[in-house]
Amino acid sequence: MSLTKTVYNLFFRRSANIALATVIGVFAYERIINKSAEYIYERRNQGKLWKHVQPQFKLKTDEDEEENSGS
Amino acid sequence: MAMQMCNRRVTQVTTNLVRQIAKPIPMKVEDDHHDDDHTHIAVPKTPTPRTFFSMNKHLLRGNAAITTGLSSALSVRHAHTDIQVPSFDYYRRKARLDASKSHRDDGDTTSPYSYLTPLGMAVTSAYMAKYIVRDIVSYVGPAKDVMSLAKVEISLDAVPEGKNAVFEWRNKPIFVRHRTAEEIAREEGVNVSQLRHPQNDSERVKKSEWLIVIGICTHLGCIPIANAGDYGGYYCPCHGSHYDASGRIRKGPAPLNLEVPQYTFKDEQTVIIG
Repeated sequence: MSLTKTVYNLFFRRSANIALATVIGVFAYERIINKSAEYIYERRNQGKLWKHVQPQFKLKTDEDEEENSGS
Repeated sequence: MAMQMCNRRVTQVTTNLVRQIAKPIPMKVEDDHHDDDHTHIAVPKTPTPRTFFSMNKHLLRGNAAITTGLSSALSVRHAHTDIQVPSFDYYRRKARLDASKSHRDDGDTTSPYSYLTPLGMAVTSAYMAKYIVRDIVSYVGPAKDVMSLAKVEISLDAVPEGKNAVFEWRNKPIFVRHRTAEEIAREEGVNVSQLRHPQNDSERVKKSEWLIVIGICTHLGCIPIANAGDYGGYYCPCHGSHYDASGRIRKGPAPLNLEVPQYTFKDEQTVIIG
């Protein structure tokens, strides 16, 4: 209960504080949205993206051939 | 819920509005079906209000409540004190039931949703505004690396005299020709008025020993061959357009001279095109 009171007095009492909270909220919101969207996308496409496939294309130094991921 | 039955004072009022009862006027009408004398009743038309003044007369003014129906008569009630506004206390918050108290400092007891919803909407719109402004600014003033994709810097050491070099600029071929003195003299001596696209050699080059043109034939877009053709310049093999050493069309179907792009000489040996 007192948490809401503190939040109110800190952020919502003055409109200038609301504006500040909005601006900070935009940056936080953007970062959260971008990170979570990327995470969900990579989860859905596990194994199909280049960053997942690339380790299989490393050159083996003891053998002179490249290993393919399989056709 | 909070319905109250109240005494209503009802006045039967008919305005000058509708239901003008017109007096029937007996009239004789020529009718083939009825041979005997029938009285045909014609009702004269009520005047339809067309002007602002006449329509204004039909308006009801003031507090009025109108009841009508199949069973009850048309009644218009001009109400002052007998209209009861019902009590909405059932829908109000407990804190707001008292109308005389000041609620200015009540913010901390308010439900947080009352403040979080507008804040959420503000954050979403600010997010959209940030992206829109960022896109507009990056479109109007692109970054230097984006701008640099439009230009190409050519070192002129690679082109010996008399030779034509081809460079790529914005996916188009650029002919850079290092002209010999006799070529320059020949081009400057050409009678400009006889040309299909009259252009002086001086207005096509900045330094006369360097001819820089876009190597696309102005007829249908093939790439001409350098040092070919009847005029010592270029020859387009597709339809046989002959250009001279200044890139001007001399013979063949092309309508215009080879296009000269914008370029500047950064120093004696390098040129920036675009």
